[in-house]
Amino acid sequence: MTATPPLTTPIDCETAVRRLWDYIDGALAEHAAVEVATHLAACAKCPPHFAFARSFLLAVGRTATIAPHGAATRERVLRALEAEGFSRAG
Amino acid sequence: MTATDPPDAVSVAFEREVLALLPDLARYARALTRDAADADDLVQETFLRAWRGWHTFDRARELRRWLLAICHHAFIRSRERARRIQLTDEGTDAELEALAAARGHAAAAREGLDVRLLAMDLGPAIRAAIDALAPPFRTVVLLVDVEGASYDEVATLLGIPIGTVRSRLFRARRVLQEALLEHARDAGFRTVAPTPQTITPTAPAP
Ligand SMILES: [Zn+2]
Repeated sequence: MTATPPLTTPIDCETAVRRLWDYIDGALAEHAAVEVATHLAACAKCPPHFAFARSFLLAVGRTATIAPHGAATRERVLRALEAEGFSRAG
Repeated sequence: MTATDPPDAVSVAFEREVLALLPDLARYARALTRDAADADDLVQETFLRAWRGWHTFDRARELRRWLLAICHHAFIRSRERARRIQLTDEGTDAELEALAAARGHAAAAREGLDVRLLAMDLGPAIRAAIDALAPPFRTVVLLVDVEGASYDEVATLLGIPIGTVRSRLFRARRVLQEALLEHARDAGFRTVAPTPQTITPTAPAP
């Protein structure tokens, strides 16, 4: 937190795109994020890159979250734990 | 090595809180190891270590992160037993990866590939592309893009500088994006109807 308001300066397309992932991940300092947002609002070229990057990350997050585990894994883990003093509820 | 039987209440709490995360762990382990049997071993090792260390778990920490850290360290140790890991990403300018990703997208957009890509069922292609990443990159992309961890959390979990997290993550994303655009290009001029994101999970080997 700074007491002074963040200083923002106009940035060009290359600077904006360099911050692409940090911006999408919410990892930029406030002034840097404001600079990107300001640039995106005024630029015709950059917004499609950012939109595509977001869709891409959504697709990665969504499709990779299908868990391949079965009941067999759980049973195996429970047996291994029981060998070390764990007692299951059921 | 403590030989005392833990009180039953401990088992109950462990089962309710820790074992409830087994699906998350199994998913992470499967993506990390790329092998059903190795993943099973890793999941078992993770829960055994968690059970042994359960009395030391700091309630202020997030349980899922704690388990992921245990799982990661078990994975590293299992790999180190096999061979030393070569890291080749030192000195990478992370932001150059963002530029390269945007350039790749611009080229693909000129062919209309980006639109086609997002209309496809990407599940199998994404899994294959993640599997093909070298482990240091795969780990970071799984933690951030699949498990939702922050750069800070990953840096702490893996014991690497945050700059390394960024450079690995951004490079991994660029490589994944290229692989997926290539996939769309290969799917080429077949008409691809937009399909819901359905994936047939690979059947675990008996
Ligand atoms: Zn621009």
